[in-house]
Amino acid sequence: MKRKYQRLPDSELDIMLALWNGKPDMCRSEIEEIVNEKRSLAPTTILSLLSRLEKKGVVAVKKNGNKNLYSPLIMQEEYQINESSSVLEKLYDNSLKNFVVSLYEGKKLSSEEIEELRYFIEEVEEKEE
Amino acid sequence: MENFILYIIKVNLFAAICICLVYLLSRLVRRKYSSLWRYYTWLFIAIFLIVPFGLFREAEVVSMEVPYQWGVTETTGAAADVESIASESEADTNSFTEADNQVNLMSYKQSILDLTISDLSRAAMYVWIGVALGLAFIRVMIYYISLHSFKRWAVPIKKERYLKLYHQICKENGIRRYPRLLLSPKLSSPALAGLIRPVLCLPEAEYTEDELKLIFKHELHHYKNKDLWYKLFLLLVGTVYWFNPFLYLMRKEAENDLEYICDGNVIKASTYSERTIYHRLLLRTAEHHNCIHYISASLNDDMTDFKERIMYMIKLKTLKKGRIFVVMFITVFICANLLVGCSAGKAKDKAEDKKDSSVESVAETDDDKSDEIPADNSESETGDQSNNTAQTDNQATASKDKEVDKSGDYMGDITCPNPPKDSSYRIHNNVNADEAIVIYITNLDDANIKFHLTKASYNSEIQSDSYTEKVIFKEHIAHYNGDGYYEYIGKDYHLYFKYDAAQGEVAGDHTMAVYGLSSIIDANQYGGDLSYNGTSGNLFVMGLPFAG
Repeated sequence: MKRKYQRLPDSELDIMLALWNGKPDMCRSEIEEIVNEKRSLAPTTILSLLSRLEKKGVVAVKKNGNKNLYSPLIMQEEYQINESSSVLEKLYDNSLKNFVVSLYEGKKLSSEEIEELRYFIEEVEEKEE
Repeated sequence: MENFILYIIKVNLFAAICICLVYLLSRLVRRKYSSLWRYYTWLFIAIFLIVPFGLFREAEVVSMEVPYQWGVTETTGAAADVESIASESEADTNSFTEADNQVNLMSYKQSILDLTISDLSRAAMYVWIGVALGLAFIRVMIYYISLHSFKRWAVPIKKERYLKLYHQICKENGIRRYPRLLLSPKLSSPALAGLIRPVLCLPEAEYTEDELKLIFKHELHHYKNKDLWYKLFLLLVGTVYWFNPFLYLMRKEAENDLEYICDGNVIKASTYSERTIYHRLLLRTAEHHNCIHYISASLNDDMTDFKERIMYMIKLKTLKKGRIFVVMFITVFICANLLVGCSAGKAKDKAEDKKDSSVESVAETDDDKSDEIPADNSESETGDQSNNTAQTDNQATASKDKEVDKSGDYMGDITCPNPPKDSSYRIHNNVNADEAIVIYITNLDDANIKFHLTKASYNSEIQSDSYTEKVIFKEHIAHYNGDGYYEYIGKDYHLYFKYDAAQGEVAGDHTMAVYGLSSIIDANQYGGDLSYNGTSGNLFVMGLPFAG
């Protein structure tokens, strides 16, 4: 059964992103280094955030001598899908179109449509050549 | 206010027509002209809509008048038997009540059920501003929330290959302050976001060096051209004029144009192989795009748009800029807006008079037109049409002039501590006892009074106790000037009114001194021994003429 995750606050998500993007079993200072590239957080704040994540069951802690090593208990894709399926996120994604300029702003095309477009591109490129 | 609302409707109508024409024309010439002309035309339309150029209305040649008033005027009066023989039969049914022989308070109740354009425009203004503010608030909130959501998953890119290439492209494009480069697992298409501190966000997909180069070129062109500001400006105009559906069409077209122009810039100096890479990059992005969209009108919209985008790039080298279209649309749009005026109809004055008026005078038909005393010159332009007839016993009824120039009227806001009573005040002719001049006063709001003057002639030959009145100074508004005087500054008359409230109960004790009427009131016949500010005045006593 698919597990439902509580939406993580921004600062907790930043910790999780550091854990997902970094190597497995990271200590506090390693996490801090990655997190501080995005936002500056005090070591004590990072520790309290990690303990909160541990309580939520999304982070595992391992003792290694006098150091605590942290690793994520959930996959990034798993949590991302969970968050993206919320109504609010869908609304934000929808509205985002008004405030960004992107390479492609249309909707996702089906594989048949993509095939048709691929054929179309090849055809016009041939003519151009 | 009504003219402002009409102006808003007018410019929106012209904008809608212009948008449709641009849309249709672009469909005809899209294989020959680039999207640049549309880009500038949309921008011009948006600027014209948001800046009130309608202030320059002197040049208008064609003037469209919107009827000022619709509906029925219903008036209820205390006196029922009013014999009114109005030469111009209008539904202008006002009744006049004489309450007492001394204090003839012209109390009557007038309820107007008219639906004027003023009422409509006021309601429209409230709805328009209310919805626009609400929409603006919602959009600003959504902007912050969605931008936050956009940045929430983003992390700074650390790949040396990416950063090196990015800085190189920035340098090539002359960009010193470049947007921060981020990576977001939630994105499927590279995107530029943020107005103040923009960020360029890449999806997690792997890109080749050639692809990255094209992506950076594309997004940095948007950044350099301030396309986000352009897009938000159109969104602002669309928010202000939320009721204009054509602005939604304009926004959609403008967004496509931004991409066309950007694509054109990216592939402008590129080789054939770079162009093919770019085409496939676009196709790949479309394939993996996960942005959720509102249900579109046509399922094939995005595919058609994609094909158009590719065709635009293929044909780019042969496309002309189309400056002529920009000039053409700007000229037509400006001329149409400046030359065609739209205003509330002239009936406005009439309708307002109906609402404001609480004094009506009746002028008896007088065969001898030479008796007519000229009224205020400011009124003479519209012509005195007050020769309607009516005759009652000791009753004065009135027929309102159809058109009254109110140019001299000014509504003050200083409250008079001792405002005059609503009544008539008279002064008798010293030489001819059968003549009198009467001034009718209505206190509007303790700061302004409405007045008009009549010349009364006693009909001793026809019937006792009857007299006729003729308007000699039409109805106007005087304001309290704070020095104990009410003041009226017309084109040719500068009048002062000083009310003296008597302590006693007798109406005759209440007086009204009027200064500045020496050209109308003959000093030999009516005196004029008062003086204020260098103008002579006459003392009028409360009451009807030839009574008491």
